[in-house]
Amino acid sequence: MRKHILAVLLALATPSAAEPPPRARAAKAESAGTARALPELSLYQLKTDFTDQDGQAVRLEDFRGQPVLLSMFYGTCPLACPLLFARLKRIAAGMTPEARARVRIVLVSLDPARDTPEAMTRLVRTHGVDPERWRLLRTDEAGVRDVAAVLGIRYRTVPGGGMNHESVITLLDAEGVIDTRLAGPDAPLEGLQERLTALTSPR
Amino acid sequence: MSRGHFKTGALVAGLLGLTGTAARAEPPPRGMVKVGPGTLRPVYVPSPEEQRVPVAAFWMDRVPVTNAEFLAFVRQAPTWRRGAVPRLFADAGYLRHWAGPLRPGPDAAPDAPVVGVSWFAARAYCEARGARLPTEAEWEFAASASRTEVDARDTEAFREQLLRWYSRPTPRVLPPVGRTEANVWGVKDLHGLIWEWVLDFGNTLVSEDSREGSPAGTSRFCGAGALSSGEKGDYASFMRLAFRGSLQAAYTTGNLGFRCARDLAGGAP
Repeated sequence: MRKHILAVLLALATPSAAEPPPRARAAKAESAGTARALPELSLYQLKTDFTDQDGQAVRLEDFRGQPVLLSMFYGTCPLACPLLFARLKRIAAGMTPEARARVRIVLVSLDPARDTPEAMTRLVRTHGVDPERWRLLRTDEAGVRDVAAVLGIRYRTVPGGGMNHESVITLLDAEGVIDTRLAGPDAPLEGLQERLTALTSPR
Repeated sequence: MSRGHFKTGALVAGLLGLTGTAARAEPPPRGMVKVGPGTLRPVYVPSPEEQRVPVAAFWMDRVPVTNAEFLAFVRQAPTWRRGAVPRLFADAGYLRHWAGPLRPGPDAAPDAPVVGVSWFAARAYCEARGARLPTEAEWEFAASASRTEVDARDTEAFREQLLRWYSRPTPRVLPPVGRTEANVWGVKDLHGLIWEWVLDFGNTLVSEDSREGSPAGTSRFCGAGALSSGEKGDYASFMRLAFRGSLQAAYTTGNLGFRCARDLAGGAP
């Protein structure tokens, strides 16, 4: 009986398969009015306003034109975030200098109240990374939800003020479309490295 | 905890003038009723400190958002019309059962709940109304109530009633909202009609051991795993948790809709 209920529930709960729909061309033209339309799945469709570690106003779209490694962090994180930095450094170390120069590493704070531009600058210094290529961004609570939603990162504040969050590194292509998603601290880096090489190779 | 306790609590707060005007009766926003304050016993307890989750009083839509209401929204907001929304914000199933971008048609009666909407779309709708989506804790707190009890989840009859619904397939054409019995707060259709988006869907699943990125998914709710958690026998709550854990923000399904919520104007009493 219970099994039966479960089966029915699972059937109910399965999200609709993504079938290619007959897209309405006319409606699409509306958003394609600007110079070069963004792909529909581009994260640069997000119009969230950010401030970077230098206190400058930024939008994700400002990174258009180059591959981006995108993740989320919070500065007071005791364990997961240092690991995230270490992992991103390893990825960067695996690239040729030319490729490295083309890739931006963008980290969005899950904790905008504490991750001020000053705190983010300190974090960049602490980790000894190149502030030109490593961009730390903060936004408001709604913006955090948006970024986490498009990256598929679940997070929550826990009693005591800390946060639990999934550690996911996402590689975006030059147009902001997700190319590769690396979930978890143990996921092998090779696939991502290969894609980075491909995306940074001169055409 | 009975409803009487809450009433008494509000009365005492009012007499003491604890929060000034906020404690006094605030007229409900249109279509909304006041829920809480109270305490949620979460079905899944991510940490020992979270056996009880306080829920501040909030306004909640009495019924889910209907097709007619969503139509009025997309008339005002062309970017949320079917065909205009980038895939990033809504998958291919977005309002697919509507006859046209501005025509719900025969499969989507005006007074039936809107379904086939993504989290992004649901959130945009609520924001356009000056509201927001309810949090998972708020939604679950409201949904714990029966007609007579604030937390009826230990009541066998309530549980069985929910499971009867969960074991029925969703009808192809959904019935109108508001046909189910109002719970103790005056909220309807939390069970028995559709699944609903919440603001932080699936986030309670992220616990200490999943923060490094191991899938915070539904595997831990399979079989015996579920029974090791806080509220044994509350299968319906587990189902919702597992369902939300499987969602992504752009997903749409034919039985997933939403309702809006709001903070009390004077803040939480």
